[in-house]
Amino acid sequence: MLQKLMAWLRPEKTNDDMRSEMEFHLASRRADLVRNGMSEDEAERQARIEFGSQNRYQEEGRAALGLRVFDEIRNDAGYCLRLLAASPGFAVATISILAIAIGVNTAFFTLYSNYVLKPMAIPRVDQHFRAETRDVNQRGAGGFSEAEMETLAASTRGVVDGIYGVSTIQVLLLKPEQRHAMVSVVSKQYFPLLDGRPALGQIPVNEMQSQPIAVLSSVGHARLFPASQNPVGESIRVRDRLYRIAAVMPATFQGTEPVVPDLWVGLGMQPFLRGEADTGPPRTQVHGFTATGASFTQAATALTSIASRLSRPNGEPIARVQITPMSTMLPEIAEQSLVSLLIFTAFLLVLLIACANLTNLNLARSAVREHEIGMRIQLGASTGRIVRQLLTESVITGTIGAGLGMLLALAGIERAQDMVASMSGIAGLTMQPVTPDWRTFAYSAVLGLLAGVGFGLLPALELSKPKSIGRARPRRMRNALIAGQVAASLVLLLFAGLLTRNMQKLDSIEAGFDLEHTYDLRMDASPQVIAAIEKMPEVEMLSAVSSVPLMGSGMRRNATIAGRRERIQFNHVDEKYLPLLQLPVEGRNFERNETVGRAHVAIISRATAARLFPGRPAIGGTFELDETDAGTYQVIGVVPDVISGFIFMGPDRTAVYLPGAAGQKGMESLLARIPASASTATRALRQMCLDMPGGTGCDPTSLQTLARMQRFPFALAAALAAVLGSIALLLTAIGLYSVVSYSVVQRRREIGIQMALGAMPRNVIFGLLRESSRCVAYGLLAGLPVCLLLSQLASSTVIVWDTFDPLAYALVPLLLAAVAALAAIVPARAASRLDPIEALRQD
Amino acid sequence: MPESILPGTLDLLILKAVSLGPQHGYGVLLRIEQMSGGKLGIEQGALYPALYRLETGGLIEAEWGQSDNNRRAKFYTLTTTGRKRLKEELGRWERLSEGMSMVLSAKGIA
Repeated sequence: MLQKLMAWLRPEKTNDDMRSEMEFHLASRRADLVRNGMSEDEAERQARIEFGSQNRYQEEGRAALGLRVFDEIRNDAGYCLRLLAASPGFAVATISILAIAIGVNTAFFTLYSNYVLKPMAIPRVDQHFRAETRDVNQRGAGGFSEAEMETLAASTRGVVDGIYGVSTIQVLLLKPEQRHAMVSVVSKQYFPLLDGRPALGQIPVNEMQSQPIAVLSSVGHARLFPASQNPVGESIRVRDRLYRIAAVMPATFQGTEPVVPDLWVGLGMQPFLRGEADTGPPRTQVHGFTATGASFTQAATALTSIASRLSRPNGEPIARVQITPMSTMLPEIAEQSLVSLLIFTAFLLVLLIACANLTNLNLARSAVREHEIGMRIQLGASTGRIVRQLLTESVITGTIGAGLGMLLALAGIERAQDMVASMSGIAGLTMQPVTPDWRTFAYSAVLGLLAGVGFGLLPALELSKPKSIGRARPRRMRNALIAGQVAASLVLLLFAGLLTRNMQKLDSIEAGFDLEHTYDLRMDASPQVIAAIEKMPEVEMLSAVSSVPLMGSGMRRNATIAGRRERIQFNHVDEKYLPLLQLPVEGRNFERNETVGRAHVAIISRATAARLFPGRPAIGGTFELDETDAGTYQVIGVVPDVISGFIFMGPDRTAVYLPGAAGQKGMESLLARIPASASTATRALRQMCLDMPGGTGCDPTSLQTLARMQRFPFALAAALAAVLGSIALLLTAIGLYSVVSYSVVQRRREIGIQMALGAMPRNVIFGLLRESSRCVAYGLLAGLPVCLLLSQLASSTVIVWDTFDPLAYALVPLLLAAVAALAAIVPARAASRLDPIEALRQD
Repeated sequence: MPESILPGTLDLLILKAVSLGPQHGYGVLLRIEQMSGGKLGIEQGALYPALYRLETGGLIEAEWGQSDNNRRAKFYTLTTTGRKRLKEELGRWERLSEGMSMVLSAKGIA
């Protein structure tokens, strides 16, 4: 086979060899004949006559060597390229349809492959895992401290070979300039285990746990110190601390999380980064490696048995350590794979539509090519030979399309990543760089090949058949293809519609308070800062709280009412909190002395009132709390329900407000009400924070921004579905157009006769539309149940509230029908303007 | 005038000729003519597609070398597979020709 391939790749060599072998034969024969007494000339003639046609035998020789197929393919390829060049319009249409369809698929696949398929560039990647803790209720039970990690590693030796901790947080840098950065907080074993070797400087593994030392990533280098060749020795500032840069990592070391950090600092520094000084030893999620020969299950069992015996803060014992193998950035887990399957299906649908389309285009063109193919059949070409020729053509087109598609994908990926990062609303977010590899090439090549065969086969079989029989079949086939395209477009567009509608609903959900003018100042709430901010004219009101709304659900504690235990969400707030959110209080608000003195009074939400005090007045009622704020509390007020967890989680099922004041432990967040122009106010606030002696900087963020961030996954999904849906719609429109055009060409005579017999243009148009509208209708009917089924499937994995949105289900089919009608009317109108005499004269 | 060979027997003849020792195309031709005492004639060019077919089939191997008159020529040798095939084909041919001659030499009509 290799020999054959070589022979094919170097056709001159094979031909030369054959020729010289035959020449040797002729020369030897000639010499023999001369020796027997013939003259030179006669011997030459005689030798050639005896030999026969050299060309013919050379040709047969190539066939005998099994090279003929290759020759034919080469000839077909050349023919195909000439043919494409001869009809540039068709070539451009075909190739660009393919390039778009293959391009979007390749782009998505490249992203998927980079995060889900490609092993990370770390040692022992197959033994790498992520460990998550679970309490008895299957909820996360927090991370591990450095000391706990050491205990775990020491006690599970033989099964687990190395544990490290990492978590990435966003911080506000004050130096070299005020901006956001992603910082990975890492344990002592992080760099040694991951074999991280700096490009510049040294990593002081131990010192960085207790001293403000940072290691810069290549991304961070480019972003924070663009002008410096070697930033080792420079420093950055977070809050009140300067971190000296000890090392810069090479671009090949990007960590083990999808987001590339700008810097790494020791886990011991986490409290100083967050401004939470005395909250006990810092904890983080852990990763690790199994020992050679040990399974992940064994590792999980070993870790669980040690972790469950650790004495934990807040009485939160670990019931189980759950292990996920992590050889790639995003481990493939069951819930994710269903989502990726759905997305892959959506992308492949676009390719399928493109193929259906090209099949139609090719069938339409077969009218033009029937003559040519007929001639070849007359000249003795076999059916197999014709099919092979046509398939070669479509595969070549497919390959060109795949090549272009891949270029499109590579050009678009980075832009798409940037767009996604900026859509997320998280400042300073850098995704892991995506590099195409052999998987990308293989994927687009396979798609191109499949597409080529896919759209070439039907027309090839159709064309290679003798002309007279089965003329009705291709039309039926084309109609079926159109119906299929309509169905597929419907699925994609409806999904886009549903997602958009869900997103709109998310937007219109009332948090219960004014998001736009409420700001999280994101700073340390020291009394002197509060005093300074309160003086600012831009700030209408300021309040200290323990947890800011929309930052996830707050603390939960057990409350006891009349012997009944309930798990309830709490928040400590000062007396300005409820007025700041403009929530009317039934009963009365906290007073200043109550918040400072942490009086045992509480304000509860209406939903909480209904739950704790069903059928009786809540105000004046009491409940017991255990744990930290143990005691008996009296309810003094009731407020409306609001959303204080994530926006898509809806209004709080329970919310209890307890009094607290700035300066107390846990009251670290500051909310402000900024009624006027946001940008001037935030600028003034930032400046003031910087100017404060020992100031830690601040980053005022409107709660509206937080809400937007939370709708990002929906926005992304809706945007994706919309892009795919519009491509699908466009392709379907092209497909319909070509089919109607084709039937016009095919039925010219018939139309001519109709018109000659006095048919009005209108009748002609209606006649042509009737057929295409039927296949559109079939397509819609087929697509709707698929949509219903798929959206049920999607709602089980993604948070989609409403899988049946009447507006989307009504509008999308209408839109599709309208576009389809337009695509069909244009060529139909052209047909109605046919001159009957001209039409009849043809053929 | 030599007889042209029976269709389908060229491969057998080539295999037999090559089995006697490495030979180039023209040599194979001469050897067949010589061995048949000049009774069998082959259209000379047809030899080559047959040689290539046998080569592709792995029955003979080819190597470029020097001919007696010091010209570059391609020499063919029988492979192990080729030897086995030759034996099978010879057996078949013997049975066939025996059968043929038994039928054709039956007394009665002639």
